[in-house]
Amino acid sequence: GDASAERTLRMTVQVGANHPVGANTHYFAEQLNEISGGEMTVRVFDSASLFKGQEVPQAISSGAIDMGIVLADEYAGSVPAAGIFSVAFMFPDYQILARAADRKGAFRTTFDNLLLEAGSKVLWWQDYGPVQMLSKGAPVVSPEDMRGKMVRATGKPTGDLIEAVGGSAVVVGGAEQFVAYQRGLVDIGMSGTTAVKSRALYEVMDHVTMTSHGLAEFIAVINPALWDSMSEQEQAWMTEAAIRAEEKMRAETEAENVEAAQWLAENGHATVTELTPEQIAVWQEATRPAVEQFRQEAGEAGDQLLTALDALR
Amino acid sequence: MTPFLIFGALLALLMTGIPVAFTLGILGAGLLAIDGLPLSMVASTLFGGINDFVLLAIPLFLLMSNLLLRGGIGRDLFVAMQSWVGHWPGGLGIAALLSCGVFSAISGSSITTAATVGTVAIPEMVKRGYSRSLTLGLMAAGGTLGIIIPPSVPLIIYGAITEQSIGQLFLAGVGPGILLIVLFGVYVVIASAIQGTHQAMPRATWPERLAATRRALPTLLLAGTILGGIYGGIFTPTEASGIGASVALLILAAGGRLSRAVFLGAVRDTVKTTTVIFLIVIGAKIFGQAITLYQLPAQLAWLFEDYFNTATLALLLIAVMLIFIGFFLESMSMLLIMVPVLMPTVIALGIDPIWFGIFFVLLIEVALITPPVGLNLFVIQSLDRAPLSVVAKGALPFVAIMLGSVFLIALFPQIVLAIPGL
Amino acid sequence: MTASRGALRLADGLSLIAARLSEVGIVAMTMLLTYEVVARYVFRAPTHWTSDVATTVMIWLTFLAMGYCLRDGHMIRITAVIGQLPPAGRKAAEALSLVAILGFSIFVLWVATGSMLDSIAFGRRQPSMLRMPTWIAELPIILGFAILALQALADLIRLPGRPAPDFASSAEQELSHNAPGEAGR
Ligand code: NA
Ligand code: NA
Repeated sequence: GDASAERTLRMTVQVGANHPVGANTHYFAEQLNEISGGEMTVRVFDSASLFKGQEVPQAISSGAIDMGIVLADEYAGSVPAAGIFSVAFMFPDYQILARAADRKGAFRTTFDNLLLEAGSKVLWWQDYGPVQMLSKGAPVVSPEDMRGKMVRATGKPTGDLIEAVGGSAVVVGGAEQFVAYQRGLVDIGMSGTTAVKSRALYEVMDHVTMTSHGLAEFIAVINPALWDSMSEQEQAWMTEAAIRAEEKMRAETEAENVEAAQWLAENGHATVTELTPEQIAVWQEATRPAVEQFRQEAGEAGDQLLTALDALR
Repeated sequence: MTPFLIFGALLALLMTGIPVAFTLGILGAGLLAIDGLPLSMVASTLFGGINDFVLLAIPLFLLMSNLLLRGGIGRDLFVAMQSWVGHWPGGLGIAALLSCGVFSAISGSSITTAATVGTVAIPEMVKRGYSRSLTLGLMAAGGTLGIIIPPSVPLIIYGAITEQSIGQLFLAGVGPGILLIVLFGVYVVIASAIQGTHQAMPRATWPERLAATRRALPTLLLAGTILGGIYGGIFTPTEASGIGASVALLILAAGGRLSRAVFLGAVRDTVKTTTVIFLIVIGAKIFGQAITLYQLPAQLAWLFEDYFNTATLALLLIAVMLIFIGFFLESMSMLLIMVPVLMPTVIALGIDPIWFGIFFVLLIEVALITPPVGLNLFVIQSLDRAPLSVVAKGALPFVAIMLGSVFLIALFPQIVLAIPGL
Repeated sequence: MTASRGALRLADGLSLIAARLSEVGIVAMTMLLTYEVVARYVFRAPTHWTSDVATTVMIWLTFLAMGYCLRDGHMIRITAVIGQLPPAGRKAAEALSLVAILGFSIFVLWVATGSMLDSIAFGRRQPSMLRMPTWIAELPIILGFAILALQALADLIRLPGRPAPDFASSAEQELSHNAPGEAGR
């Protein structure tokens, strides 16, 4: 029958094969090829050679490309609720994320359905880890430390966070990040723990405050029409490989983030400041307006996600 | 076999005179169709190809230099430089070179630089007995400084397609730009002394120097503001372009040079140049996606992995390839087609992408002054109505000097990387 | 006869009007970016919208000015070979270029319209602070290529009745069009 026809899928990835997110897609490709006994092959086009991250949602939904990796925030324009991972202090630890990622849970099903409505069928989540604050001279311990400062924003939710505590949000792209810190275009930065190490941001920002105020969550997606055209057997193979890739990434990301923070502190590259639960609570209280802003813009779907998340705490 | 077929078809189509942007777009879409790939990719790219904030710097830097150009800045600069160094041996050549250097700091394109300074400098130099070939070669080569000294349109595009910092790229171009000015200057002094045909200028008096410098001062200050603002973290390169255009307007208005004709002319030129450049950006992206899906860059990377697996060998081969391609391909297309193809190899070999951007732009500069297709040669030729062969012959020693500078930055990467690292 | 002449004039007129809009766009972009820097340093209140709006203006102006660039002979092309041809050959080369542009424009009109309708159906928006609907930046593609197609068609119709194009000099003029005193064509 249909299932015996070999199938090759094309996948766009905006990072290189040596980046953890990129490496994970190659792992998925290997697993799928193995599980399907060579029936299914994924050809990965990495380093944004086909599409930049921001172009992926449209490329997937139009069928210009079969599969892709995209930061959840890229959907937040069309579907504001998809910005949940960047909403202030929603995922304070790895356990809550792991629970939220439960494929049968309310949070996961609601989130994956949102993306489906935007034209992308979710295959698996790629955790890239929590986002921290970077600064020069002194850590960003309390919301007061951000008042009146120029702060790097990455999108709407982080912009709301910054403004809730009286900072000025300046949108700085990933590529200009290093220079923006080096030359003092912004006072406070935001970046994933591992990126502080891999992008050498510690050379220009000597303080890392472990706020974990947001998550860099990448999502592996496929064109929905293509998915529907697959046999049940093919879908099962894909799902199996997707689960393996997701679990591997989740385990490795936690280890790598912990290791990166240790490396930064132990080798004297940066002063790493951990926050106490009380200090985090102060931040959560101060950034509540940003959460309310999200609730307003994200509508019913946003409410569902927030409620589902509350139930996991 | 496929790679040769595709590049052969590209070259053949380009020679039929179909505009470069459409050649690339049609060939790209055709390749997608032949392999049964979704054509909706073209629609995404038409929009996505230029939906990038950093590209805004291109039209606005163009506007800034077009305004100053129409406001007569070329002559002011040349007269000021001449008043200081004109009496030196080879002094007019040095003045022309320094004018190119300063104009490069407000212009992002090499043809604008060549045209602006060439218009005033060529007649003066020829009148004073400099050989036509040396004069035209110097202006063709001096114009290429426009894309290595920041701001630079090719560096903005390189940054946009490789996701590298344009601020870093700009700062990285300063060292090699100064190196080229020094090397070109030394050559002009020696060559004009050997030819011995030029008459020295009378030394300008101090009041003359001060008056001439005062006229050129606003331009010098603007150049300083752009680079200083980026270096000092006052604004991003994109914002610098907006500020630059506004300040250029103010300078012209304050000097009583902002006529309706100057303003509209500058705006009109900017729109035309922006459109043709961005169309090539889009066309090249469509073509680039098609050849990526045909796995051409991957095949090239394997070739490098198997036979040219050290950075030195790879760079040597890349340089030879780019010199060859540069004979025939227009510089913008060379950048847009070749950078995505080469990038996987460059990253795999651990070559610094900022350094590679400068390396690439130096080789584009070579392409701009090598026949048969060399835009700067055409510009200078049209200014002087000289045969192309005379301009090309005069440019040849400068090609050698540029290749020498490529070798120097490979040997001493600090020439490129010291300033951005400070 | 007059009807066809009217149609040709319509194509030229549309190209010109679109190009004038593009010129306004350039000025608007300059003002937007300058305002952003002033807002940040003088008022310490960076805006959230200038980058989105300015980028959208840039997309509009690029596509709108295409017809005018074609009419005025501004497209970058390699004329080293076709410039050497006899008059009949140069006319044929020009016809080939115009047919290629016309064909590609019609193809783009087809795919870009589909894409824009898709964006409207999905309610796609940019993932930035302003969340601008995507179709706003896709519309100029359709308008621009429609104008370009008309202009290419008009130039094609006029081609037989005109002297053969002189590529060598037009290439030089194109490249040096920025030079003062050299702009006269
Ligand atoms: Na420049
Ligand atoms: Na050349």
